Amino acid sequence: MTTVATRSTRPGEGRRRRATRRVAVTTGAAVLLVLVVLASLALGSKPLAPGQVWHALVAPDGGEASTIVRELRVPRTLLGLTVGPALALAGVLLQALTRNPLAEPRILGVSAGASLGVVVAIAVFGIGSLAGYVWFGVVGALLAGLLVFGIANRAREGASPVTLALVGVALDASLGAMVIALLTVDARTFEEYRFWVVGGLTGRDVGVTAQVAPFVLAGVLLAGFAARGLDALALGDDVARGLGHHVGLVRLAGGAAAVLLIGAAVAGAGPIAFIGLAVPHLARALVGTDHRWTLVLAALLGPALLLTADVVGRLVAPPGEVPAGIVTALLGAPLLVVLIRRARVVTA
Amino acid sequence: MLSTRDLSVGYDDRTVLDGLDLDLPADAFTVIVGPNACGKSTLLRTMARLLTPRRGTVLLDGTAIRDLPTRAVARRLGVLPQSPLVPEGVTVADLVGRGRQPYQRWWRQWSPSDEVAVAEAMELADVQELAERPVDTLSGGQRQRVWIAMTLAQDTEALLLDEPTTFLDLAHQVEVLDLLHRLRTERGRTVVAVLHDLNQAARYADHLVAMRAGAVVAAGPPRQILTVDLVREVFGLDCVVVPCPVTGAPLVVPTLRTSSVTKGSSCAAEFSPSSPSPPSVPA
Repeated sequence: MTTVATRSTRPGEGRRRRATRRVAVTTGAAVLLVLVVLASLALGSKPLAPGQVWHALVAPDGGEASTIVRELRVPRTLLGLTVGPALALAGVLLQALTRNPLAEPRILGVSAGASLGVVVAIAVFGIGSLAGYVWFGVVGALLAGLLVFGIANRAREGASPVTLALVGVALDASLGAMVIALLTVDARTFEEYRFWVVGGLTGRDVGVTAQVAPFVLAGVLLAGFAARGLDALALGDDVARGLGHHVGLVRLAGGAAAVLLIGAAVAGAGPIAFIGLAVPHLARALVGTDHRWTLVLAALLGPALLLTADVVGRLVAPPGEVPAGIVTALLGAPLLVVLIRRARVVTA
Repeated sequence: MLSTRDLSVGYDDRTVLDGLDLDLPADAFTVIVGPNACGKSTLLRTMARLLTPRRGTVLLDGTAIRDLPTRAVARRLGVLPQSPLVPEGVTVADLVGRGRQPYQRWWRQWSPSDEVAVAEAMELADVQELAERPVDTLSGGQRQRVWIAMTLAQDTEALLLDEPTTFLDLAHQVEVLDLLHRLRTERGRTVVAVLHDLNQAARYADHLVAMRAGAVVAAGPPRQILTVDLVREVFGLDCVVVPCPVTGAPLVVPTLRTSSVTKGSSCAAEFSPSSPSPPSVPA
């Protein structure tokens, strides 16, 4: 990464070189995502020939192959394409907002809020379908996010990275305790919860994706809006203000985006670990700290990693499956270790 | 170009500035000095709209700064706060480029004029050779020049700097101050800085503002206002003021504290009996 100081005396030259590299990396990530999507449609515990898959997609005949592809593989691929970017973008946003390279959807308590929302849906309202969880997850995440932001804002220095993280961690603990309390009271809740809490793309129909997608879209737009402000915010609040940013507005937009993305992702696929932590690091290592690039790359790598995990989960233990949530943790942990060992973890 | 009218600023229940009226001249290098916690940084930060006053106004060329869009202010006023954060892995060129943000929009990204402004800022601050280096690997002096380059890339008429020489060794302090001096004389920029070193302030400032306990005690050219009485009033320090042998600007030399009860203003006679009057140095 570190180029020799004497190599470039004209700043424009280095900038152009960097831009070329960024375009190349981003294009590569897009190609990778397309390949992973194809793999997700083509591979599974039931082997199907590419011709069968193609036929099932363009001209379904109601046979077994058609059912597998259209009822199982297409929905989970679509869900992965929705939830993957959400988790990765939320990670980028949270790491930038808290200026903490280890921040992830849990640190703001938003993930726990979404979980509590879902558990309340199961235990209090007796909702058993995943499509019904979505609203509760989003609302739970939203309330937790607002609560964290509200409490942190009352601190003397406002919602600074430190107060946000402290309040988030505290809230994560209390919300987690409430989830456990609800679960221990009600055995049936525990059964439903057990399926959801592992995290994965299985057993969710297209309706779940359709419910989650608008929230993700809103989050993506807000994240794009906040991108340049996040670049400035990384230099400190004062520098960001000096550069003409409304620091509170940038934080609010970024925070709202993170809340929407996490709420939607957690409700849709359960709390899936490591995408939100590992992908932002990977993205920064590849394209640097400019958030307009980091966000785009994370949005491509997030679903690529999540769908890879899902495909691997289908293949490792046929005829059974390992949920994507477990595979991401198994894949993500070594990835993070490699990133840290490779030299430097580039912070937001 | 920058003025304050009846400016009051505070944190929680503590009032730092109370009803401050001040006019800073355009096209001058203004230095604000004063003891710790006298409100000099608070004043600078309020003028740079980093702090919101409780009462009163900051005027930028006669317009209340709070009525101007903050992006518009960012094109006229560059700010270098006391301890900016250096994210890991950001290169010098990238950081200086972020100074162009006030000119960019979603539909107007990096432009040739940005390129020119960044190149010029890097040349002025003498950091071109560092362009591709990550900022967090630089020395303190280099880093400070990079930050100044970032504010220069903002291409503003005025620059406000909060203690730009703190944590630098003497050679780097002089380097930074020389750079600010050049900005004023060669580029016609208005420079306002908070400095700790009274002698550096006297040497570089066209306009000196001495503050104590949230109020301006004196303001004007250093040669006119920097006296033994002013130093005692502002810092509670006894000293002699002699002309600097290099520039002729007033040079403040504190007297020895061991003879703390000094009668009159000067104890120079006590440790240099051969010259009863302050030594005259050829200017």
